[in-house]
Amino acid sequence: MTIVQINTTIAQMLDYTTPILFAALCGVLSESSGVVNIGLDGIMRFGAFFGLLGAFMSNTPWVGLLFGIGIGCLVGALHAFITIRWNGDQTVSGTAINVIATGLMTYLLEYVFSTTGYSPQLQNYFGAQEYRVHLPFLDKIPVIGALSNLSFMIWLGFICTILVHVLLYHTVLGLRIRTCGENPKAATTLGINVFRVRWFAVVAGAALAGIGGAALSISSFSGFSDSMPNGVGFIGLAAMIFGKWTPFGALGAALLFGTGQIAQSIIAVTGIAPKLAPGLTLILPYVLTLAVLAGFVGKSVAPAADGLPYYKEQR
Amino acid sequence: MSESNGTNKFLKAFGIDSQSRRRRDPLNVWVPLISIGLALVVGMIVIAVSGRNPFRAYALLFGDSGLIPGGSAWPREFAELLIKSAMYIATGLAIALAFKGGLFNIGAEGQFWVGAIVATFFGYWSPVAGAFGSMATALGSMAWIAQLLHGAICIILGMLAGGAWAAFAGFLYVKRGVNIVIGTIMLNWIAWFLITNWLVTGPMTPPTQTFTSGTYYVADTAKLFRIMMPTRLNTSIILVLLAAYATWFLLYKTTIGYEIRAIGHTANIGMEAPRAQGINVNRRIVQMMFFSGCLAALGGCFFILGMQYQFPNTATMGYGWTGIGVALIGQSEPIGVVLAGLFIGALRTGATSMQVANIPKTFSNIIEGLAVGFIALQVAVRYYLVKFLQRRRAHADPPAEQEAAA
Repeated sequence: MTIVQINTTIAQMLDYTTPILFAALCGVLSESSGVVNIGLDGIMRFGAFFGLLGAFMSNTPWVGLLFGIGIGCLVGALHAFITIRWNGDQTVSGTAINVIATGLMTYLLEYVFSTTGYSPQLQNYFGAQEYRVHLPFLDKIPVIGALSNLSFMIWLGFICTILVHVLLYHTVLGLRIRTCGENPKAATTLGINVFRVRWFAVVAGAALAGIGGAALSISSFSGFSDSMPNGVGFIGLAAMIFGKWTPFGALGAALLFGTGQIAQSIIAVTGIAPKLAPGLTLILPYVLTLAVLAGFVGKSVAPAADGLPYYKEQR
Repeated sequence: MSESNGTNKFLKAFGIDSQSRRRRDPLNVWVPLISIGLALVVGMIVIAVSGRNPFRAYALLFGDSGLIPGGSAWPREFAELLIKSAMYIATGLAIALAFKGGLFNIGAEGQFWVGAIVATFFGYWSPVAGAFGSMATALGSMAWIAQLLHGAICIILGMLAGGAWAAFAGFLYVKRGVNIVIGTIMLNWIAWFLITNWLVTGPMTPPTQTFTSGTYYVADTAKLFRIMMPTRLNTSIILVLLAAYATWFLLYKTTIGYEIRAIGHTANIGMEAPRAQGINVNRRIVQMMFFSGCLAALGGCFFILGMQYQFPNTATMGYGWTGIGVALIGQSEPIGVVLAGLFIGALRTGATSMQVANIPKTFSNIIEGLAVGFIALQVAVRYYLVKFLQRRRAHADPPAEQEAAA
């Protein structure tokens, strides 16, 4: 295996990692404040379609990225409205978003592009050579060389991980978000507006999931397909848990699961093992997550008030 | 008088006691109906905004849904409606049962497919299929006995497998504290990828792959009976109605059901009361998940033995997710689940012919999702409904207010 092959494989793995990472970050931010977001798969589907739509209409992926953020915020606001303003069941609301996304995106795909299954392909997307971040001096180094020619979205994923980490652990707002997730009652006593903090966390998280969806349609691939995101949101959910509800943990888990996603091709290139049944590599993220939750491999514990609606005047 | 006594006796034979019916909040019936109504209105707006005629679309949707008798296509549409509904009712019942026990079994999807693959396996596996095949030939005109037995064995084993898959999630919950929503989501995808990316494309595929590959076809003896001959309507709807009755009986007429509901009522506050009462909460939760998984897997058995006769490699997820909508619209009551399942089945049947009006058949997903969304918003729906009713009452008798003022 040559240096080029190693580097391409790693770059490819990072391509798979990015959408998972954004989904996991969405989960981290939202669940730190105490709101479960099962609907992040659906938000990614919204982000994937609208990201493509923006990129297609303006012929530049930057507008697509903005569209992804915008639609993410909107759907996140819907989730927040249902679960925070009206104390709706968070899992039910998330399910509703997933089901609506399934139907509505197919509808819009057919309405806007008059096609079924696949949107037209983009010429200008983040994966195209002129939109990649070129760092030619890294080119010849093994492993690190993979970073020499990456899509902007991958770098954005790393930047967002750091941003979410700084936000959660090094700012006042982050402390408030985590307080709302652990003990909203205490937060109220301290004069924190739990509802406003949760609104912020859910909408900001959903914006990240929207970017993650856009990363699928305008970075990893150059178009929207009707099967997107094909469960990536749920892998993100798994990555969030496997990463113990922390941004860097999510990054590590996303890298691991991204590797799992392309393990098949790695095995094929290196020939280190006979062809495994493809199902066995695909279930890896979920098996690992169950093992971690069950405490067989370390223990992962959710924020204490995660998933519970908050009633201000209830004891 | 004597007549109603007769009906009462008849109902009592099934365990239904009309005297001791609990008083229910009338809003429980109105919330799902209003949610569906609002969902249909929003769906109409979506169609209108995209420049199509919503009235034509809805005429097609409901005209071909099989709900309205008449026309040459009606028997076929009616049969499709019932076939589809049977699967949605099964997964809906599974989720409703878990809801009653205070758990959100999102894993009905995975349990559905586990049931399906196991039913497929025992449908074609030569030791079983061969035995029943020769039994059918030996019996001659009584061959239906072999069909009955083989079908029953496939369904029972499928249900047991689905139940075990769900009970594993319940086990992880009670023993290792794995949140049931997360646990069942993970098990969903494990089941799905193991089945579709390994079993169906590997060990269970015939060696000579054809254009329409997938697994082997099940033997004729494993197929469900058809009960309305030109159409493909089969016994699945009858079986699922029995399952609905059994679920109702389990919940309201047995000790286990009582204990499940006791756990469900206190699930948010630590389940102290049922524990103090001596209920083995952990065991009941695992049992409840097992029953729930059995019901979901029943739907998977219908999918194979009633519709596909093999596990196709084109199967798509969605039955369990739809079941969540069915259970929520049906307010987790077995009778409500049956009605909601019929409604969703009707939407799915009618949506196919909306393609004439340039509307993709996934439109029914939009309606379902919106209805579930409005149910999630039910606090708001109740709030505005009560406000609306109060305002109308105030309009109806203003004197009361004047008297109070005077």
